[in-house]
Amino acid sequence: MYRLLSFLTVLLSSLSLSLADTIIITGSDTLGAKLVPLLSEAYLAENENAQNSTTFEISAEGSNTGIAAVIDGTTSIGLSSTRASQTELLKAQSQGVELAHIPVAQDAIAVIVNKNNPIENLSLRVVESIFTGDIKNWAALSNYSGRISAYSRNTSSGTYRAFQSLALRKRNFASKVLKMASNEQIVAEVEKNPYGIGYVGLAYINSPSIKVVSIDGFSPADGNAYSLNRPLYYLIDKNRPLPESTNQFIGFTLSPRGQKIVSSVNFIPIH
Amino acid sequence: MNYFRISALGSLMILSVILVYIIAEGFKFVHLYRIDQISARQSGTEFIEVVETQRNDFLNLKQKLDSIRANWLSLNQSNIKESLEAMHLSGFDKYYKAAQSIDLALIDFIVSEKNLALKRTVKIDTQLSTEKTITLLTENALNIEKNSFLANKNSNKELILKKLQNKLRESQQDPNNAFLNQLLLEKIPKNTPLLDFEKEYLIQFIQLEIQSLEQDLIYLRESDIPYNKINFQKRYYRANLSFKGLLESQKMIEIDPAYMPPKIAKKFLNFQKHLLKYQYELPKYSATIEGISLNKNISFLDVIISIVTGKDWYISPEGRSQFELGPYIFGSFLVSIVALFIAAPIGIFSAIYVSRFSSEKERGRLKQFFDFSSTIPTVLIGFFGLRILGDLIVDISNWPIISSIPGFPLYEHLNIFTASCLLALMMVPTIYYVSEIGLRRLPKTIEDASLALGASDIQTIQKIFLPTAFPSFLTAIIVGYSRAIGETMIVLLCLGNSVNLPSLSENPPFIFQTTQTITGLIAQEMGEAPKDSLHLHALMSAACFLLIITIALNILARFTDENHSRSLRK
Repeated sequence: MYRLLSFLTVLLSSLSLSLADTIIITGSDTLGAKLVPLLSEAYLAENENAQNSTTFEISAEGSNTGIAAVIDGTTSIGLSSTRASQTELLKAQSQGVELAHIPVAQDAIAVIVNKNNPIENLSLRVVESIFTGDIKNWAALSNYSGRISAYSRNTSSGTYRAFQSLALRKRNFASKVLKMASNEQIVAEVEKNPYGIGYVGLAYINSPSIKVVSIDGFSPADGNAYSLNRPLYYLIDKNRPLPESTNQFIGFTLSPRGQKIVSSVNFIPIH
Repeated sequence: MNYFRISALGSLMILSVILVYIIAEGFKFVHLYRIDQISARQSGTEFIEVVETQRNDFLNLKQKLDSIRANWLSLNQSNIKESLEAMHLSGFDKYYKAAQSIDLALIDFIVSEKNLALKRTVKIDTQLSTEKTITLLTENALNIEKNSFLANKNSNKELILKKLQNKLRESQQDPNNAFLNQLLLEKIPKNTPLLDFEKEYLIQFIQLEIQSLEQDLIYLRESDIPYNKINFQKRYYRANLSFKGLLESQKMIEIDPAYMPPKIAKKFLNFQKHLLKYQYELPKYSATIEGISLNKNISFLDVIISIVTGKDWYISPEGRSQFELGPYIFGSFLVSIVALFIAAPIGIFSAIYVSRFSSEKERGRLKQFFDFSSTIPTVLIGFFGLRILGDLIVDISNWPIISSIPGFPLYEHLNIFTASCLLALMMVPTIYYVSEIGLRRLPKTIEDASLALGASDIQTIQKIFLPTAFPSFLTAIIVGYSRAIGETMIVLLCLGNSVNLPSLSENPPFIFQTTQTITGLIAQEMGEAPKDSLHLHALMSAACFLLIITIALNILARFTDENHSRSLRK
């Protein structure tokens, strides 16, 4: 009897699962690591009838994967911290997909150095020279001399792409730049290395052993005057009708409640 | 019996399928990369590369100036103000600023040229994809005429459906067409047979689409494809003129070496000599540009050579990615060779000790220990390196005795040495086992004969034991080496992962620099490479290369081992 009951419950639960709406979300780790899970929890908490019928599947492996997944049609919402490139737009077009970028939050990229570094301000050009390897020693900039160790995210990251187009004028990173798998790792390395420099999202700058450098005189808190600013996007396929639940979730993200959560994880709300 | 045979055959087949697949993928990449390189040549990247070399050569000089300044500052650390004062008085400051602006002059030109090239690549890509869509649409129209559109599995219904949907959204006002559109949108997915007038409408619709695409194509073809060399040369001439002008005006800056410390003054003089030489050689760059031909063919061999020996690997989502394995291949070999230098003596000496001197009990203990250490998951070892060993090495390098050596102390805790130490830890058991087995195979009689003739223990080891056992040590080293070169987790965690060719001329010493290996590259980037992208194929070709290396090493090990046993039997 007991066995039969358990069998039935398993059957029922699998049935209800297959009935449920699944919102698949893939892409940027800047968005997907903290913000989107929080948003999805809040969304479920707010909509009682969604609780039983909607489930979320979130994977955050980098913006490239998000854009590719929307083009392939394997995800409901793609997350990206950069706009799709021309090549990606072309690929989408040839498969009949029309990408729509929905900005959901603003993020600023902070350039960080070790707290022992006397430098307070860098020009954007100098940041470019450091990360492209044109300047290899701090002595070229100030009276602080030592070989620069530059830390970057790895190539799938949207932050990497955004930084490349915002700060490096799309030039390539120097071969000596060390590639780290996450924002936290960059912070950890710069904490230890007195000659280190790195770039991270605003959510990661709270360590006491690092210092945020202002760019051309503006700090990340100065909003649009700061040059390393970028919007974060949800990507959808315009040519495919969205399921009701996905639509509602996007609406929730853009609502005042959703934007409050956005600012709670150190991003700048879009309104 | 049969069961055993089947399972053996099955695993053999799966393995060979994997082998064939990877090698085929490797060759496919060479093919695709060649096409990519040809299109890059046609969009003029080679011209930009020449200017980039010109600029990089200057940059190398400018970095010498950087290091002169750094040296100067570090000479008199207690009174930096004095050094700054001297820099100002001697005119070095002005000179240095001038060098910085010279550098910027060329980089601005390069960046703007690259943007132009990028636009051109996008144009070429658009042209290709438009042509492809036109052929697809034409095929579909033909299929509809032949009534095989719905039945044919290969026809591109999705494309038509999406185009119809687009149309529907655009033409809300036209009720007649909107109705037909809606109807077709419902009918096609269900494979409901179409009526004659519906077919006619659909064909007309497709033809209109084709016409508008062809309009686009005409526009694309009229613009700046193919690349215009003369225009480029004009732009380059202008940029180069201002570059040369800046160089000349830098020369005019008065320098008073009296204010320089003698060491610095000597270096500075040397720098000026180099700069003069550079200035003298400037015309060679425009000569190279003159010599480039856009239509020269690129052969398969050229592509393979550039993949294996080139040193640029970068992925730029906008524009052209470069896939060259040079630094990774070098990194793989370097890391495992350094590890070998640590592991081989330990492994071989313990094997000699065990087979010659130790008691049976001791031997058992040692064997247990090695068995255990070869079962530790490598990710644990890597984690240990990341959290503990790396920091320890940095701390040690800060000891006064070591930090006075030039190049020290270290600041990056992830480096070749950290990874190699841990790799050695993994290689030791392998080397120990293989050489111990080899030693046990040696006939006892040789040794006895030597001892009976009055040789001492040490003499016997030196003159008899080691020479006869040498081939088995060689086998052990090769087997251990091939294990190290395929190791992934440790190098991924402890190597710093930069696309870097460690160089002898730079600080710190090369074994304390960072690099990345083939295995690390594959592990790090496999997850992020989009499906069917050139990037994914490039990683496959890296895997193929790794496979070739390990197979070669295995064959080599087998060869030395067999040679040795044959010579023993004689």
